[in-house]
Amino acid sequence: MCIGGRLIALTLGVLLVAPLTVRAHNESVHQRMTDYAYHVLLASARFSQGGEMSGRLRSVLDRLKQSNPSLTTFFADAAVAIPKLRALKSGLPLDPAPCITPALGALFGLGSPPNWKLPSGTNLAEVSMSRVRLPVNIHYGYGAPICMIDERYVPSGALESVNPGSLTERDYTGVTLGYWAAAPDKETKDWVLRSTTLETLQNPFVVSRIAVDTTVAVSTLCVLACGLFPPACVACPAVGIGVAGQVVDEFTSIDADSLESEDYVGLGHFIDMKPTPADPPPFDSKPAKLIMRAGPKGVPDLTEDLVTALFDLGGIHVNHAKALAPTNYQITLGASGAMGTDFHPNSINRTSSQWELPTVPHLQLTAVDNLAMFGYEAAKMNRGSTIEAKRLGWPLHALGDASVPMHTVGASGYGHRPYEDSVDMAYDALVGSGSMGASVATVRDVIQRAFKWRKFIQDWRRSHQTAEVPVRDLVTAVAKYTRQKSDAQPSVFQPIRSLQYIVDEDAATAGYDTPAMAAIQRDLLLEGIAAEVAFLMAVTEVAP
Amino acid sequence: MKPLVFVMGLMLCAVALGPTLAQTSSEPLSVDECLKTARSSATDLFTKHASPEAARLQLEIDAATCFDPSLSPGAAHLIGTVNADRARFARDFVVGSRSLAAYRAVREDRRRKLARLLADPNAQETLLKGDSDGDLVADDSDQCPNTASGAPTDERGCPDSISLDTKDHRDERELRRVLTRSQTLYNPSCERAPRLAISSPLEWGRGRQTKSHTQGFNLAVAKVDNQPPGCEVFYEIQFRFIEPNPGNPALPPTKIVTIAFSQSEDLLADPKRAIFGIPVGEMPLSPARSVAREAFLRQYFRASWRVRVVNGANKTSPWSSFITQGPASGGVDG
Repeated sequence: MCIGGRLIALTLGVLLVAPLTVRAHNESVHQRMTDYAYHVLLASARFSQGGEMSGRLRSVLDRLKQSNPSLTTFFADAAVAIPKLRALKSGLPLDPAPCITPALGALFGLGSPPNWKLPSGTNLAEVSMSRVRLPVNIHYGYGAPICMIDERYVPSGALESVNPGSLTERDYTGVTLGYWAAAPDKETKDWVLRSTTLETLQNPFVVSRIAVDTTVAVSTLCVLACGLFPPACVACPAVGIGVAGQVVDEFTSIDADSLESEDYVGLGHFIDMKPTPADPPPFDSKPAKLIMRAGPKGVPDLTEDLVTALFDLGGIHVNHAKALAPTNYQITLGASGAMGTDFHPNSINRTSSQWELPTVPHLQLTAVDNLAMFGYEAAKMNRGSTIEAKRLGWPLHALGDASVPMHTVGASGYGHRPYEDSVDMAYDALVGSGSMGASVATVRDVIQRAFKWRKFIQDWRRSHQTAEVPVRDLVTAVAKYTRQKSDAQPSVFQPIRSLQYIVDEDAATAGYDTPAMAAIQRDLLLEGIAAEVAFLMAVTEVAP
Repeated sequence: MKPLVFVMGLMLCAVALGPTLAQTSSEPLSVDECLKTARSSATDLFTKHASPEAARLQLEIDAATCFDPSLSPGAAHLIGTVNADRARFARDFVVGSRSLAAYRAVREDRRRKLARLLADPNAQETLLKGDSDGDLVADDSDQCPNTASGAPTDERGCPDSISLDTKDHRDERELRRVLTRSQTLYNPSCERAPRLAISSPLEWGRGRQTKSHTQGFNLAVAKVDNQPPGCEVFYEIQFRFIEPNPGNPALPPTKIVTIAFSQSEDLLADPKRAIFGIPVGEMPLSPARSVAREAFLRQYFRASWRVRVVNGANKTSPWSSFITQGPASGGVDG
């Protein structure tokens, strides 16, 4: 086997896996943002109750309170929120994958799955967050060959002092909530697509001269050229191609009507904060991704051109009967013409044919504030069940997405993935985990911002005379902040980086791995975390 | 060849019943069933020597009816034509026979005309009677009846000029360069492989490389073994080196590099761990491995790293989470 495998490995650096950049790739950032937000609440609660923490952290919180006495209430409210969050059912699945590292092997036995020490007669999903004794990472429960327990987990920087202990002793409420905040990126049922023609989906080398068991690298252009119909395959001198009948023979082996992929999940994770033109009319107060309007100035970049071409070539449409997003993320909470619990008008509901007739690049998708609202309402409807925590992940996820510039202009290109990869790589440095000084400065900054968002929610509650959470307003306001900040620094949007990412991920990501970019990444990241703090606090106050 | 027989059967059914079944049957076909019929019908056309474009056009018109059986023939024809046009323009753009600027212009042309025509059922019916140059302006009102295929036109059917600026040329060059350079994997044995399991970084550090009788830096990751025999698996490992040695001020504060290994390069026969080596010494390496070796040696004290798996059908696992660690204190032998 593997004739030429080494050769392929050597050339893999210029491998095009798929130029579809619609997929979010920052699930672990979502988890860490939510965990950080929980720890800020925990620190606030401890401070309010005189609990233990590092002297430097306490001193910073003391000074904050002196400079803004209203924070006393904020800290007290956090103390009320924490036990409610810890009482949520974890909702975690039981993943039997074995642990193979020495550290985990010493705890459970090498090759054994994690021991959750569950009370007799209960399962992991049913236990409260406070009884989850191990930190799961984002891939836990998704079929990894080894257990996805994050044995290196420690709370970020100074926040470790409010959640001390060994691996099996800490409070993992934040980690588990973060796990659910990452989960929307794995909802492959959200956008089930179909192809009118299968040619671009099935590998075109149907009757090829390539030997079985051998991997070769072939030109991507060839794949695309062959895509539509065999005559175009003259562009592939090294590869033979079957006649139409044989092509169809192969095509019957895949289900062209149920295409699911994590590559498509992120299609509904945008909110376009640009002024909305009248044509085509939007279906919600804030539109979502519509490729023809992608980008900071409404002009799609080359990556969007490529994505459009691929989807059009494949005749890729939404499968309305199977895709969950059109149903879930069109929000119709009230009767016709009524307002939802957040006082937004209902979405304009589209018929199945309105969803299905255009190919995906020419379709207005659903906005991420609606995704948030769906999760919030679903959590309320499932209060006390094992689904509640999972659904709370939806608004948390939306707040994270709203803090990424490309999500606020409907852009899959313009440096989207390199930006997110860069934040993922540099996350610890961005929140100052490595030094006590930087860490307490970050905590202070987040609390000040969270207080602002707390006030935003309280003002809204007063003006609407309700105890609900203005989920869509919160997501939109964070997105607005992100948009303003990224507008002020246009180099955030680097269209060339997305194209470069296709052939050289490292160079493209390095384009965002700079001090100037780190400054804005940190600003937006902290804003998103702060909004999550305010959301978590507010959601525990919603009456059953 | 049983599937082929099945397809042939479907084709016969399609010929006999035609794609209008969705409209006439008392028990309407589901969209899936309707589309299957439409595909078979288009394939039949193609095998009877219709042009690819004609087959695709018929397929898209039939598909429009499948998505919305209540569409009038004029509306179905319009929507199908636009979807087929978009596919054709996309193909031409991708293979390089249509420039980026022309592709963008004609996309906008079709968007504008579709929006206008959808609001005008009479115009749809008129279009159905004849549009010989395919510009979505009906023959009886087309003042330029022989417009070149795929050229944007104004409302009278006369060609619009495509404005080009230097940015378009630059974008075009960049795009063609990327498409020419990019490659994808193909291995027939991976065609029906299951979804790739997720790997995870475990540890990295100096150690023996027994298989190659060398010493160097070894990278241990969780092994993925859920692929069928013959379907080769590759591990892409991305490093962001941090904390450069202060004694080496020439080092940039961070260094990002991705290296790839074939499963055949695994130094171990362990069922759960795969270990890949980067030898030190004068041995020539690929550019990426050379960069990694240089970073290890010169040196950075810690690194954030992650891994994902790719198979020969060009399918990838998700990236693992990043973990940040220094070299394993006890080394990593392979």
